Amino acid sequence: MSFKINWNAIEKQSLSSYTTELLNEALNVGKRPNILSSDIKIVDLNFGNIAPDFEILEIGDLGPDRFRGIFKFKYYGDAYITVNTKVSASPLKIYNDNILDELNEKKNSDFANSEEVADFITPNFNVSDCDFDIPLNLTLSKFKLSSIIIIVFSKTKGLTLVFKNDPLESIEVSSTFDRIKPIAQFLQKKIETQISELFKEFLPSLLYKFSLKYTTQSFDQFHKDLLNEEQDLEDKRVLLKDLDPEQPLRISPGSLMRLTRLSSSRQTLALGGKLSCDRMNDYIVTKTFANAILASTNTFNLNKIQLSNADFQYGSIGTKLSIIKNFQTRSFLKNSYDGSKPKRRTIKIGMKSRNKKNVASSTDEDSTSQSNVSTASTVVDQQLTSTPIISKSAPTSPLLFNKSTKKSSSEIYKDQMMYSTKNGYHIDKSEQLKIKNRRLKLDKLITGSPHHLPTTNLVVEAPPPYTL
Amino acid sequence: MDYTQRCFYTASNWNDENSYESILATSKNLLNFKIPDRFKLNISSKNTEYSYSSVTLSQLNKLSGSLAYMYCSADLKDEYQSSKNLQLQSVLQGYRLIQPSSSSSLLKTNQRPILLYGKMYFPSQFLEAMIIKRISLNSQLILKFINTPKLNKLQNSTSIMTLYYQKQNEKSSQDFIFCTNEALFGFRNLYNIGNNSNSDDSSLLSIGFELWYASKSMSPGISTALRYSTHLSSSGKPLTMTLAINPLLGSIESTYAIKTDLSSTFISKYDFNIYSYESDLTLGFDIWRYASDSKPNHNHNQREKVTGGKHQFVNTSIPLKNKNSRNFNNLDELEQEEIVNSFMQVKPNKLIIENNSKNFINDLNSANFTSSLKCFTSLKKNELGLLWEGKFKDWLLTTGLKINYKDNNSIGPKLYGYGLELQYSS
Amino acid sequence: MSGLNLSEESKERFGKVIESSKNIAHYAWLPLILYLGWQSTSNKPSLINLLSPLPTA
Repeated sequence: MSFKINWNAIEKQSLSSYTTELLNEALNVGKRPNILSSDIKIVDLNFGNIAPDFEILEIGDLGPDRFRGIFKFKYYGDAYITVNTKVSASPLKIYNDNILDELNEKKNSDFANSEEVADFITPNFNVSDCDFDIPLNLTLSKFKLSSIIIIVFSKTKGLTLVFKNDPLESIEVSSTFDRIKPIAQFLQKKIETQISELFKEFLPSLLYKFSLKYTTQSFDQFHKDLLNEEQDLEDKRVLLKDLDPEQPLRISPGSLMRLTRLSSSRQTLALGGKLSCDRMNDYIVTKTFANAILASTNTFNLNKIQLSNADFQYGSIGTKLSIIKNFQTRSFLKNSYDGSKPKRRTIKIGMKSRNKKNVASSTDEDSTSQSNVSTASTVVDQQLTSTPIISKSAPTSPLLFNKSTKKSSSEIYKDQMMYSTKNGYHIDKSEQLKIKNRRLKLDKLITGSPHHLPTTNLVVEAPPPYTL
Repeated sequence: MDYTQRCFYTASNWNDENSYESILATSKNLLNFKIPDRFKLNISSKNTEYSYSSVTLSQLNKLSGSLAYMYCSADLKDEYQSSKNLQLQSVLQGYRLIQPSSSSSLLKTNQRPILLYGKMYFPSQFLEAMIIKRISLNSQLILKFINTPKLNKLQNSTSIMTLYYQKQNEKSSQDFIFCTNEALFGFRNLYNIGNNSNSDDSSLLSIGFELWYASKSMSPGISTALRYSTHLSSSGKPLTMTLAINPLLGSIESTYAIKTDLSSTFISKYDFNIYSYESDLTLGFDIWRYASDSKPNHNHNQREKVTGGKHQFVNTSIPLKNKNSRNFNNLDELEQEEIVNSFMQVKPNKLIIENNSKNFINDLNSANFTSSLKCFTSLKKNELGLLWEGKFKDWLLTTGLKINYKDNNSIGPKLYGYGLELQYSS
Repeated sequence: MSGLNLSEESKERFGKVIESSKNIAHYAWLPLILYLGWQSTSNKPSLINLLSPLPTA
């Protein structure tokens, strides 16, 4: 199994500048080596257009709070980086500094002694150790990397990354000293070893530190980040907000659960994002998070069949409409005409909401048909809890109809009567609560009594609700 | 301990200024002086005739200290002074009066004095050790080594040893240096030109060079320097000019230092790099303050400068055979001729210069200073350093600070460090 | 070089000897200086007198 990384998605100005900042900080952390006389500054950083290849070789351990896997990593990209620094070319100055460093390393408590001791032992150079700094521009390009990497992640210990072999195959180094062959060669060699070192030691430790930042963060904060980040994700992915931009979380928590549970296997391996809130990670879905989702779902109308732009794109609108049509004509025909007004229902398509007339365009229905209609819509509502796109599950509604009416048809009828008397389908809070309760009961019923489920076998002709 | 070491040199008649190492000493003393960066207390004493001890406590963030002992086979009672009656100019490093090494650099009792020195720092337990052994009349051996203890299994102890073999005579001096760190070899050479040992010609031209090669890291180092020191003819004020070049890195350093007065020195240094065209001008001065009760009588000195010529001349220049017979007429003809000849050789102009310079030095050596203020500023680095050293009761106080008055990153001057050092010796 | 044909074990032993002699030198240096000072003095001062860097009355 391998990944396709949407490389262009990360090639953004903000990410590039963020990485520059991060690298600037990371490169200059601690004491700089004696050969450098100024900080390393990244002048230019470009990720290129070619993405690295990842291939899963083995997943050793996979759990909600830990992960261990072996990957094959390959990168033959066109990324490049230009850094600027100053090199001290005075060998005896470096000599002095080296002695001091060595003593500083050895000291166990204070700094002062090493300076005095170093002063004592070094011969007093006269002008031989004068400052002489050469500015250096260094461009690294044409990275060729390939390695087998082992990633171990655990919630408590953070992320550990190990390169099994030296990942660097080749690299092109160009610098201010390109004209001077020996120095250029020396730099090339030096940088190759340095980069190997970087991959072997520096990068893992950096990643480790970086991951600790996230794992030690409280989960509340983590979820807040998650909610915020949803707002500005790439539009290439289909997000909840695409379905209804006005209310990005117009989806019931239950269906969210189901959806994410089904896609959890993919999502735990996702490289781009953080952890999703799914059943696999149910410890993540804390009470506060669930409440936040519930609160945001409180406002929406449960009695709508919604169609989205995606439905139009995928051409499933026709089938949906015909399903609704069939269902309605059947319920109409089943109940004899008794002169009462037909039940109106709204079908929302994408941004614009249109009122769709009954397919049969009948002007009146009898009172018994009302009860059927109401139960039918409740079933749709119930299905709504299981899928993000309600209209797709519409075909199942008649089949579940019997089951769900068994218990609560009279109650639903009452509700429905109230709905119909109101303008549109606005539901007030108390009713909302009732619906919620009912939905929970239904949920329990469905999950608690598996022998009822065989009826759902008939659903198969409907497309699975999570194809998107 | 530096002071005791110098005392040892004086006692053993070793001229440590006759070395390439100290060719730029004046500019180093006045422009690169060390500014204390912490609170430090140093108490040292002469325990017996031959042993000295010193304890230092310093506080920056943590308290640390050191304990030093020294053994010297020569008795330094003539040179070593307690801080109570110490002459400030003998311990504070300022303008170096360059005097040609005296021809009479004979060991006092024909012995080979030895100096052993050890210092241990706490709590780090670093050890500093030094042995100075006079091998012969004009050569000595210095062995310095440091060692860090092995406190736990993981640490390796660091030990570095530096060995100096120094040879000197009036005309030249050679140092051979070997340091175990990176296997550094060094060679220094200094020639004194225009120095006639039997005259008091105060101007001296010295040329020297040094070569370094660290064989493990293959890093070379080379520098060459020229120093010219003389006295102003009008007032006998000494001045020193140096020019040091590092041909490898293309840096040229020139300094000009003059003692403008008995109690003040001005120095300027100009650095230039021929490869990078970087340059820097550093200016510095030091001012000494007299003790309130012992202002030297300048008028008296002035008079003596003019009139003392003959007196001086008689005392030193002329090898009189019969010192009792001061009357010229009483001398026999041969002697008369001799004296006349030596008078003929001596140019009065030169005599005045020499005389002035001698007086200047004598005044300087006898002056009773109580404090000195040193200041330097570098125009490129925007640095300013101040150091005050003085005597307070029986204590020797040193305090100073270093600031960067125009930092790129911060607004306003930035303080690098400041500190106070207290020294007492008995 | 004689060091070339030394066995691993003797090399190790050699290193240990060097290490321990270094340690001895490290801690014996100051006492040695003190002893020399004491020995060369005619009136043989007391140990406290020799050790203390504080001025004696």
